[in-house]
Amino acid sequence: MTDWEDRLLDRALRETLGGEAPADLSHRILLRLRGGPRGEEKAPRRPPSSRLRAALLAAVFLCVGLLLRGVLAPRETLLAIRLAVTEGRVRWLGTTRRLVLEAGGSALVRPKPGDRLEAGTARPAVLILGGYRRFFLDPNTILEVRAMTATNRNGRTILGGLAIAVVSGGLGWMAGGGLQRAEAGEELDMRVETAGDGAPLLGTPKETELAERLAAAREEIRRLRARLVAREKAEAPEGVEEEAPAEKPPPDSGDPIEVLPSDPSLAALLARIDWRMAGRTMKEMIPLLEKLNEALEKGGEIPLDLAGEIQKLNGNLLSQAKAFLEAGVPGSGVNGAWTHPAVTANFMNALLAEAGMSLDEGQREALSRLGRRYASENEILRDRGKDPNALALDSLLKEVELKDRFLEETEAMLSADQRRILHPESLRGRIGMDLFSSGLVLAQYLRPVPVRNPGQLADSLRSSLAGSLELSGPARAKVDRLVREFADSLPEEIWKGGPKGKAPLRKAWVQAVARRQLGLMKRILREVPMADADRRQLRSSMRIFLPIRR
Amino acid sequence: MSRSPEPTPPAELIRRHQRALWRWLRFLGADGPTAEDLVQETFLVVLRGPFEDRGPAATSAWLRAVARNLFLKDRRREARAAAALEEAEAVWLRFRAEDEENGLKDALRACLEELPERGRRVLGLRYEDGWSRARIARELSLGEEGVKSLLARLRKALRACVERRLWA
Repeated sequence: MTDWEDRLLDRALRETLGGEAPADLSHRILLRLRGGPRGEEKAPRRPPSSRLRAALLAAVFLCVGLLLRGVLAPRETLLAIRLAVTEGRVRWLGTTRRLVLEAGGSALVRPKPGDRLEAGTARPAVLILGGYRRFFLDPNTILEVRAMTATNRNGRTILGGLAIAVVSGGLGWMAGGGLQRAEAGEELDMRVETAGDGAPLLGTPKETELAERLAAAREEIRRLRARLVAREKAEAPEGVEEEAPAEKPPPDSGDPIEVLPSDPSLAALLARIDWRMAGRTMKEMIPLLEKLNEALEKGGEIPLDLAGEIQKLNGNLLSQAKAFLEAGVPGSGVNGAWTHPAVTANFMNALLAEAGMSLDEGQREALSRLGRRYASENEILRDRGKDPNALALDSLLKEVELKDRFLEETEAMLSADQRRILHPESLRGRIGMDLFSSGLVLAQYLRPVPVRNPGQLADSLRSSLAGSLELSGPARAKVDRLVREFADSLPEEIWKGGPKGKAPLRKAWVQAVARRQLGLMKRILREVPMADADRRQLRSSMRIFLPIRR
Repeated sequence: MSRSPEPTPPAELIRRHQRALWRWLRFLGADGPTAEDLVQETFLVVLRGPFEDRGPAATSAWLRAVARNLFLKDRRREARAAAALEEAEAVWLRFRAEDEENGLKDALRACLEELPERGRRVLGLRYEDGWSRARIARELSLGEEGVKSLLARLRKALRACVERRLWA
C-alpha cells in the first residue's frame, strides 16, 4: 500500500468512525466574496506561524511607518478617538497609554499602529468607537491598529481612516440593516463617517471631545423628550388621543428579536407568536415551579392542585412550541424546537420584558448575534444527524451541548437581576423545572429505572435490549458483559446522593449517564454481530435509562 | 444555437463542494484550521476569477487544482514536490474519495462490518474514541509496536476490501 493510499484510508476512517467534519464555511466565504475583489496575496485568516508572523509584522510595521511618514504631519499623530464600553471589559494596550475599561467607562485614546485592544475572556464586550459606531466583541478578541490616514475636511484635519486587524476572535456591528462580522485575520477599513448630527467618527482630541459632548447633549435631549412623552401619556385622561411619538419604541415593546432574518418563514412565525402572553405565562409559572421543586426536594408527594395549575400554564407554552415544531424549526421533539436559539432568544426577551427587566438595545443585538451563530451551528448538526450511520443519541447529546453553550454565552451578557428572572437558583439545572435549560430536551427521552444497585440496572437494561434486538446466544452474552461494564462505570454520585424517589432530576446526572450509555451503544455496534435491522434500531434509539434509587 | 446552462449560484457551489475540498486538503496533509482557510481561499480565487461552470466533475477537478496550488504555496518552505501531489490526485480519483455516495466512504462502512470483532474494536478505540496507541496497547495487553502493526494490517485489509467493492 502506498503512502497516499494509507493516508487516504486513515482520513476516511477519521471521518467515518471519528466523525471528523469541516465547519460550514459558506457564510464566511460569501461574506468575503461580497467584500469585493481582493488580491490573491491577501494573508490567510489563520495567524501564521510565530517565525513567519514576526517577519510579517516587521514588514507591516516598516510599510506602515513609511506610509505614515508620507501622510501624517507630527500634529496629526496625536489624533484621538473615544472608546466607550457599555458591556463587558476591554483592555487598551497603546504605545502611550494602557488602561482597562469596564462597562460604563470611556476614555480618549490616541491610536498608533501596533496598539491593541483586547476583549475580556469571560464574556462578550460592547464597544462604542468614536461615540458613534457600536461593535460587539466576542470574548478573547484582540484587535490591532494597523494604519491611519489623515484628511482635511472643511479646514479641519481629521483622521481619514483607521485600519484595524482582527488578530483573534471576532466582532460584529450593525450596518446596512444587518449584522456584519469580521473574524480573525480580516482587516476593517474604517473611513471617516459622520453620525446623523454631523459628529465625525474620528477627529482631533479637541474636535472629538466637542463633537462627543454635542452628541451626548443631543442624546440627553432625546432621552428627556422620550420621558416627557411617556409621562404625558401616563397622565393624559382616558379617551384623549395622543400623537404617536416619533421615537423608536423602547426595546421592551415585545417585538421579536431577529435571529434569522434570512429565513422568511421563521421570521413570519416569530411575528405571529403572542410574545406578551408567553412572557406573562412564564412569569406566572416560574414561582409555581419553585414551590413544586421545594415540595419535591423535601421528599413530599406531588401537590396535585399546584401541578394542575402548572400544567394549565404549560399548555399555553406548549401550543407555541408546537407551532415551531410544525413549522420545521430544527430540534429534537417539541422541547428541541422550544430550545432552538432563535426561539429561546425570543422567549427570554418576552419573559424579561414582562418582568420589567427588558433587554437593552445592546443586549438585544448581542442576543440576536449569538442566536444567529448558534442557529447556524444547529443547522450543521441537523445535517450531520441525517447521516444514516449517525447515532440518534449522539446527535441528541451534541444538540444539548450546543444549546448549553448558547445559554452560557447568553447568560454572560445578562445582568445578575435578569439572570435571576430566567433561572431562579433553586431551579437551575433541574430537569423539567428550568425553563431555559437544555435539560428540557433530555427530559423527553428519559426512562427512569427504579433500582438499588448497578447489578439491578444491568438486569433491567439486558431485558430491555433482549426484547428489542434479535441476538444470537454468543451475541447476547457479549451484550450482557458490555451492559454490566456500563452499569459498573456510572459515577459513584449516581448511587450515593444521586436521583432518588420523586426528587427533581439534575441535568448533570442525566448527561453523565447518557454519555456512558452512548459509549455502550457504540461498543455494542462495534463488537457485537447483529442484523442490519437491529443496528438501525440501536442507532435510532434516544432513550436514556436513568437509574433512580428505590 | 445551444445555450450554456445557467451558472450555479455561489452559495450552492460552496455547499456542494466544500466538504470534499476540505477532505482533499486534509488528505494532502493540511491540518484542520489550514484546510478550512484554504477551502475559503480556493472558493474566493475561483469565484472572483473568470469561472465557467462545466458541471460537477469538472468543477471538482478545477477546485482541487486551485486548492492544491494554494496548498503548495502555503507549504513552499517544506518544498513538497508537486510531482508527489500528482500521485495523490491519481489515488484520490481511483478511490472515488470525492463521492459522498457510492464512493470510498460507503465502501469503507461496508468493509468495516466485514471485519472480525477484534478488528472493529481496535479501529473503534483508535478512530472513534481517539485513544492513543499506548492506551490501546494497555487495554489489549499488547505492546505498542504490536498495536501499530495491527492497525497497519487492518488498514491494509480494509484497503483490499474497499478496492474489491469499488471496482467489482
